Amino acid sequence: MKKVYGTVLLSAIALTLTSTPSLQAAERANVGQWEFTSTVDGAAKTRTYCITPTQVKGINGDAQADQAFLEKGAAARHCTIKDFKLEGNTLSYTQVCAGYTFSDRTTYSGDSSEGVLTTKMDGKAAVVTHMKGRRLGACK
Amino acid sequence: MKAFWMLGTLLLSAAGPALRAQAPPAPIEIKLAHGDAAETQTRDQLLRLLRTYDLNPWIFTRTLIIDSSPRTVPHSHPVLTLSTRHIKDDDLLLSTFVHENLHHFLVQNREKTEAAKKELHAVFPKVPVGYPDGADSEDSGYEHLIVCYLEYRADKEIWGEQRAFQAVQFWMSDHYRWIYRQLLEAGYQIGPIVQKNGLIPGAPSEKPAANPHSSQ
Repeated sequence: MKKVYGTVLLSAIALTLTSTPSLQAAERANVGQWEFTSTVDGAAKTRTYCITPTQVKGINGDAQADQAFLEKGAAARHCTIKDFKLEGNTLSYTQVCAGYTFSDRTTYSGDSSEGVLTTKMDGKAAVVTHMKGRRLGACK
Repeated sequence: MKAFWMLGTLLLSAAGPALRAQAPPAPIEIKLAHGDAAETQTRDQLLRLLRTYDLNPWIFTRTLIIDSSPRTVPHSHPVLTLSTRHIKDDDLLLSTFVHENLHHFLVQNREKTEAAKKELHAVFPKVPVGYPDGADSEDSGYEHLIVCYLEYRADKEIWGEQRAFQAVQFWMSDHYRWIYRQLLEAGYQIGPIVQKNGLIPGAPSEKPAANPHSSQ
């Protein structure tokens, strides 16, 4: 059970931190304390996370590894990943689950990220979340 | 407790999708247990959230109390009561407000709820009882699998997957820990049971059970 929980946690972080091949020489996401601000309908929410070397392993891999990482996290929730794509510095994919889909299109640099996440529940209007991330420094 | 009620009301200006064919919703009456600063702030916070988001699909009781007493634990009955714990976190206050309303929804759909709980028992033969992993009783644990599933679903409809996930992550480390964890690990099993039994608020099949002995 703990293993699945951990996978879920990593998957969530990956949703906001996965990056692109062009940044691979540096790092797509540097380890440390990150702050993410998500805005929905003009209402913003900020949270911080400590991104560890273990978590970054799954984030800074090549495209195939990133896709596999996302698919593993999605499978733990009986969801699938579709339309995985890397275009320049922008990554996009859709997670398809029973009753809803979740799409992520995010542009990255090593210490920051910015993207649009869209949740579509069956029969409901889509919810669009604008997400900005930035690395604050070492983990606290 | 000393009867010192501060009264605040909000007339929701538009009916939600589930209420479109009905009369406009009645005002929400917010009572403050002591009228202190924390309760006033929480009331204003909640009113702001009610103006920001269309929460009508998840409102099933029109009266609530905000109580700053340190021992206050949010609860649904007999009167929906919120603590002042989440003054600095809109998402957690809103999530709690929806959670407690959903208990009223299940009371209004008692037969369907009992049927769903029976099916959940087959999937989860054992549920933890007691804080911090479970609810007060096994029966309440099964009810909370439904309530928490619907809460997570509502959060996703209101803020999207990412922020809903953040809220669940918080609850998983706070209370009902096992129950909230099941939403992520076994939501694919809980969801179909809830849906099959007509317990999705606002869904076309959702109608209060035709039970003359219902408490509503």
